[in-house]
Amino acid sequence: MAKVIWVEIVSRSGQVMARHRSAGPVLRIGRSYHSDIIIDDPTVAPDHLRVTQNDDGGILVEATNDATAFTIKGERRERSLVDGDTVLRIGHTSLRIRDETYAVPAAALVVEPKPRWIELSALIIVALLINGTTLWLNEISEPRLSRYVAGMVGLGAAVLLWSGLWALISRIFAGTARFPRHLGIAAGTFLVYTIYTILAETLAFSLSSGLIFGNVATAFWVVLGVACFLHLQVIAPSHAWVKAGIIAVLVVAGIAAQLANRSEQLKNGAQPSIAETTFPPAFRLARAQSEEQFFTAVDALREKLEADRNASASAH
Amino acid sequence: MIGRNMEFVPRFVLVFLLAVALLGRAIPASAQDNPSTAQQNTETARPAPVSSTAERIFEAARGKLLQIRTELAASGRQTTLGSAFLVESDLAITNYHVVSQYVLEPNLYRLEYFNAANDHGSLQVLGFDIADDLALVKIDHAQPEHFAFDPRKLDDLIKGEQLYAMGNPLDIGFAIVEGTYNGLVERSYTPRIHFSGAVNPGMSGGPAVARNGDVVGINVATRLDGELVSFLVPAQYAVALLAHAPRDPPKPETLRAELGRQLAARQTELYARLEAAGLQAATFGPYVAGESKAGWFTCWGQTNAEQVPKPRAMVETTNCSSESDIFVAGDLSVGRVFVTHSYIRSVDLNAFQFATYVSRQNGLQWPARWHEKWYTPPRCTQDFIRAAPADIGPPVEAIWCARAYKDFPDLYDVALTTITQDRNGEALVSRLSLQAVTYEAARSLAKQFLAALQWQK
Repeated sequence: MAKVIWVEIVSRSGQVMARHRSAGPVLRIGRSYHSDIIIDDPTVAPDHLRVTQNDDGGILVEATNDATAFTIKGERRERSLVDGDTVLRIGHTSLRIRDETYAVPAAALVVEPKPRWIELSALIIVALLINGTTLWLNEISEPRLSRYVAGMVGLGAAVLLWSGLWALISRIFAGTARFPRHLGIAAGTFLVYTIYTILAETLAFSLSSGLIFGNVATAFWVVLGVACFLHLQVIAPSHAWVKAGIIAVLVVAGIAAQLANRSEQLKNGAQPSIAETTFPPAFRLARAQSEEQFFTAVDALREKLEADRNASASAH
Repeated sequence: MIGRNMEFVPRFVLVFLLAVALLGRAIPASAQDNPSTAQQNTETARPAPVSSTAERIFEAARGKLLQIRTELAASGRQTTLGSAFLVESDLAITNYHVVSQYVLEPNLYRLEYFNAANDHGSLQVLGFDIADDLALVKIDHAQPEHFAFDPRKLDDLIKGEQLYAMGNPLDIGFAIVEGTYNGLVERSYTPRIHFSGAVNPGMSGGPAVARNGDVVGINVATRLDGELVSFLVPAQYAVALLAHAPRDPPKPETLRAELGRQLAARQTELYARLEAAGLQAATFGPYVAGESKAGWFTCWGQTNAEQVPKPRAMVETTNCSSESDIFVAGDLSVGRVFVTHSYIRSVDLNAFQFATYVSRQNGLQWPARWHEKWYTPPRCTQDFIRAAPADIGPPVEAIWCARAYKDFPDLYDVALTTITQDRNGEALVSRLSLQAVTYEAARSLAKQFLAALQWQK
């Protein structure tokens, strides 16, 4: 008696798109309606393959004629014995044929971690508190509770919306939303960016270094890239290097676009960045420079201005 | 002159010219629609009878007056209008700003003159004096009569003396305006006669004469925030230009370089005089800062104390600006100096909030809007410095921003901002803005400015 055979139509990445059961001694695969398994692919012949079982129980695949050959790993075949891991390709369709004896691995353990709501809540509260404190320290007009509430609610809504979108994507492609984990990533990366910004601005003031301040915009793209990578890993942990590579390229492109935009703005007369955020005098760590040192920098600026003037004359 | 360069003092004049232009378009339209209204308007607008002196002067001057038109070389369409007056049979004096478009772009524009008999011809620029806004032009046909300059010194003129300004206002025909001599304008770096009379757009470059018909000044500008407040270039500068300008026209393409040379010389002198004048101490709370002793500065104060709701930090600002700008082009006047001090004192801000408040006050303000045509992109450098010993002056955050003039080598706009960094609830934000300055002069003045920033003893 013939064994039950399963024909699986698989994607290029190996995901099963459809699965057909057959118990007959001969199985016909093609596009026609007298086939046992109909493939809706215009590059597949009406009667493309015939599948039988030999005396040893092996599965034999045969092309119905010369024009309906198939390929295995890119090699053209008209007849071949296949096992459960062989992927055949006919037209634009990939197939895998398994019988009832094909061994499947034991059930995987459920490893979905239990949401750590307490830690998550603490993370969100810390992020909101830091932002609230920043708001308060920069409050120079008449204090209004509504400004703080609106700021916090707006911030919370943005984080929730961002997390929700990733959870939706996760639900569609991985079958489970994992909202708490996406929320943790969003809140965590936002907290990191906030702390970095505060530290960068404080250090820029304390050390009288504009360089650190200038890198905040770059840091935004890096943190955004890290957040996206972590979200993608939550959705599916496979192909980490591929994801990291694509995100790195996008981050570099984002930074390059921002720098190019800024460069164009400066060429069009925009005010160069100066460290606008000041802190109380006690935050100064750097020693005050002498007047001579300042005017050395002023003289160096003249050379750049001359270069700009010469470049303008050349362009003219 | 009508158009972009109609009158100097652009802030006031352009607004006025716009109003005049709108009015000028509206009247003919309404006159065509309603003849009776037009008649009424004409009667209403009939000028008051002028004195017999004015009649006599205008009759004698009619043949010596010119209108100068700047036209597009390609199409011949006029772009700006001004006036001029003959000082020799084929030489006339006008304002530099009347012919500035031609001086800057001789390939794009050409100059043409018309006299009172509507005869016209071409003219060439022999020379100009950008500091005094004068130009000497040569016309292609000699004329039988010309003006003489009043030999008197300005000191010999008496306030209240009648002067008669002439020109072609708004391109409606040559006219004479009776007004009063009111001495030299106070607090002006460039000597200008204060003429109380209606100098209208199009009269720029025309003569203002005394009762005997001799030229005392040249119409140059008017103030739109006052009434009949007009300005004349003293005739002595036209005499000097006439004496020194070449009689053979220079090549048009050399005029721009001459403009740059004159501008550099004038600005070098201006800033040398500014530095030589020195600074006087002005007190702002615990701080002392410098204000120029030069006599051509005007200072105004302002405070936010009356704001509602009550501000959380009090700001008292002193703005000093020099009356030293000169016309270069329709979209470029240079030479102003600004000195600003804002003393800020916390009312109920903590140290962080006060620092934020101060940071909002240090936004850079250039004396003129950036224009790609004239300036390179601005560049800045900043540092935390101590310009004076600790017992004399506070440490400051100093921000130096500069932009170079593309067409004028060695000239820059420079802005220096300092923010005191010594107290949690008090600060002084000071700015020194210098227009069209050499880098060396800017450095010297900045050092002077920094040295003046001290603690009150």
